[in-house]
Amino acid sequence: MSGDRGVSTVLDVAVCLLLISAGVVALYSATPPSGRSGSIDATDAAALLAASTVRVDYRLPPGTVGAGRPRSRAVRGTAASLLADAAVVDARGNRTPTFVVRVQAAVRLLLRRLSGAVDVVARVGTTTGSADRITVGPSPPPGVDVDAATISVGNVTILVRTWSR
Amino acid sequence: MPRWSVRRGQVEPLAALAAVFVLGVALGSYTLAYDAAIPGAPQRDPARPALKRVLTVLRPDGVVRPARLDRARDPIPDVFRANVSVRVGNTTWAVGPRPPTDADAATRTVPVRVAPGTVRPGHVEVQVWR
Repeated sequence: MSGDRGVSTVLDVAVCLLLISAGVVALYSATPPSGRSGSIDATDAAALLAASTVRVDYRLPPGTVGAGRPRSRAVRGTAASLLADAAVVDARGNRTPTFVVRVQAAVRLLLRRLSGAVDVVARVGTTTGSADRITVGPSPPPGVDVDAATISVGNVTILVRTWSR
Repeated sequence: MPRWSVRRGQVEPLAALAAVFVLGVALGSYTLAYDAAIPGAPQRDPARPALKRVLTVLRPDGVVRPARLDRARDPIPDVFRANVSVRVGNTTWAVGPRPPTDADAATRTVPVRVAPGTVRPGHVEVQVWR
């Protein structure tokens, strides 16, 4: 009889250990992740775009300036304001493509200093078509957690999305 | 036939002792696992709230001013020692004693005014220890 009791005790302890192990596994699997490590918040990225200053040098297309006047221009402002200007220029179809391209390059250089992946889309008005917007950075891949924030500059809305690589 | 026995309820002493020992170890391990898995209490992660407080001093209008570093440690409780640094590219401004290697640290990317009218992305790091 004591032998049966011994076997029963071992079984009881084994079941108890099993339950405790399951508890530990559940504890770790249920613990929420501590944020999207390695990626900047979209709010912080938007604040950086709104406050950081950049200088853009560009050339006006031939025929748009009078004789004897310099074609090279330099403009300085916050990344967000220049992006808004570039979006408006692009939407109007004005013949100043270098300005848009240079602004995109300057913002791309700015975003490169941030950790994680950042995508910026500047859109004029409330249009949803792809024609009236300019983008900097790749679109987030499907299936990743994306953080988003927007900045309004005049009638231009700048969408900032961040995610972990 | 007797319905009871003098040995009823008894277990081999060795098995009973082993069972108590194993269960004690298991419950102790669970306690350690719980302690490690559950997000820490604020006093175990002091750098994050300290960074939040430091930023209220450093950037009153959304842009960090390195010149305000002298007052950056004011909102950090006196029980902690702290080092606050602002880094933009290769330039670093810092205040506070040299932190030990096990100091709790928190970093955030923020706009920093490096000159009048010039704002660059930078990093504010707060390291706290007792």
